[in-house]
Amino acid sequence: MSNKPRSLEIDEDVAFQRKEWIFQRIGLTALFLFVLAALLGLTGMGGTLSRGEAGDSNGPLHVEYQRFVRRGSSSKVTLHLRGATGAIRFWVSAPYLEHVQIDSVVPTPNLESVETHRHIYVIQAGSPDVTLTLNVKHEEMGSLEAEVGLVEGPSVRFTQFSIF
Amino acid sequence: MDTVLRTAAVYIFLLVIFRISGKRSLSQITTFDFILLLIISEATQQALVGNDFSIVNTVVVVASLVVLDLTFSWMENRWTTFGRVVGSLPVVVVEYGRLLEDRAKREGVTLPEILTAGRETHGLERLEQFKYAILERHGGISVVPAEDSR
Repeated sequence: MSNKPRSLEIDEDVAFQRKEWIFQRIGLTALFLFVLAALLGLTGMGGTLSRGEAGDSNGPLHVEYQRFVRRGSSSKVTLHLRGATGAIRFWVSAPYLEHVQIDSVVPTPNLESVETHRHIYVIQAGSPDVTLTLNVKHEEMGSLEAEVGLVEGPSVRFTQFSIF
Repeated sequence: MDTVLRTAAVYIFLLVIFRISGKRSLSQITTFDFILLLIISEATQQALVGNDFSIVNTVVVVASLVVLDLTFSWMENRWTTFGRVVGSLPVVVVEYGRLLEDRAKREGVTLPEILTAGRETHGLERLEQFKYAILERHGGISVVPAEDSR
């Protein structure tokens, strides 16, 4: 800087400005990391880290879901039911259904019965390999514990994290 | 209540984002910047109103934004430090015909931009004709010409 006296009447504060530059540098780094986290799926809906699976992929029940979801948005929970034909009875845990709203299930099963801890559905399978997709809307924030199972068969547990 | 909280969250988020991006981010709006601004406003609109397209919800959003802005303006005037944090400070980038390179670089101001400001506002031809160039809080460059250049 020049050694001449400054005649300018200005609210300049170099020390504060340096802090602001540091804040901007940190902020930009955080912004890049946030976008990277979003790409990886940490902010919900897709991405490598968000894709979750539960159950044996060759077993009678295999579930694919999103680990990170957003409150107010929908995500898909896909059930792969293998090895049985005819009437397949499966259930979804009731506490999970209290925190989410199932918009649709494709193909549509019939609700067979509602029990204290679970809702039982039945679907007619024409082949031994059936895939059902639950379109689930997440209405609350926080950790959502879910359990899905086959009546007289295995069940799987999974956890979704619903963010703002 | 949800709408007011959403609005406050979006307001503060935008404030932080534009403070991080620096004074110059949208000071000179190119055609692409203008489109970007429209996309940002469209994206935030979704977060502000959610799925409720009622007139009451819109009124709550607009009223909340105005109240927030007035509150922030009052706080900026009331507390100097808060004003600096929210609105930044002007920075001298040229002093007696010399570019203060470190400051200009950190603020993302280039010499051609400073020369342009000098030409536009005072018809200055060379950097030596500048007494000061100041990057203002709003991101614009104001120029004080040297006495002998007038």
